[in-house]
Amino acid sequence: MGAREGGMGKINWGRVFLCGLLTGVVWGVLATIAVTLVGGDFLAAVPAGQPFPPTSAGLLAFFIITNLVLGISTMWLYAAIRPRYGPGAKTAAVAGFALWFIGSWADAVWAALGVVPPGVLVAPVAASLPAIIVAAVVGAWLYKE
Amino acid sequence: MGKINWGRVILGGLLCGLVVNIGEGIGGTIMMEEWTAAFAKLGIDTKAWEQNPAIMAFFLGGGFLYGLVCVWFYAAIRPRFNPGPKTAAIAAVAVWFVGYFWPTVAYAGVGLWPMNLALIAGAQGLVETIIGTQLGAWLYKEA
Repeated sequence: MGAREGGMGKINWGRVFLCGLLTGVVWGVLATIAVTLVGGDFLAAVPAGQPFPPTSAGLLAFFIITNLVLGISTMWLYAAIRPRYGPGAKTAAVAGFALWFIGSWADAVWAALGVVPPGVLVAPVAASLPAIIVAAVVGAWLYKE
Repeated sequence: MGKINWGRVILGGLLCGLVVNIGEGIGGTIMMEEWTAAFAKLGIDTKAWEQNPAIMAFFLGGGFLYGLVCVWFYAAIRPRFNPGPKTAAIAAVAVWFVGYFWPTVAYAGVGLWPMNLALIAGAQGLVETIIGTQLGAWLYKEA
């Protein structure tokens, strides 16, 4: 997946990986704060136990890995759209918003299936938008080609 | 390269969404028994979805929205990877990974449904997303 357009170099995979890890960490921290502050109803609606597993080290590791994978995905997205939108915070915000939108849609489907009441998802999903945008801007700040 | 042609994004996105919705219909029909059993374990009656027009409209609308995102993404990465089927495939895989595969597998990871069912659904989603995005990208043009 190399770049071929003029005026901008190839995707810097090393930076995508490192900046993506940073994005994932910032996102994880901010999202945890956001869910703690506004996600009380959501947490009450998804108690540990059936159908959800009890909190464990394995589950925690799973969520951390998920955040890091999505952080790397966000930085790849930023690198991929840079030639279209130009380098900078605005493009990072577009990448963050796009990832949030796609991911939140999956959450909306989850709610529509009846697994959790849709109303309890609104606050944490809304609060995660600024979290991912800030995380994407921080990661993109370190990205270079 | 010019600005994104939003009219063509919508046109291509609707075509992509149509393919995705057809794929979901076929996949859902083939795997209906397994999904019904998986949701029954969550205490959810899937028959209720079929009788609720709002839920059906939500799913169909979701398919078209997913198609729009795929074609927007194709348009957004065209200057990086050049126009063509290869770039459409990259866009399809990227949107599928974040918006389809990862959530489905993650929900299986926390025990909502069996992992093998998530992987089958993921494979089905990949096929329909790639075909839909190829068709949507074929319609997409810039001045």
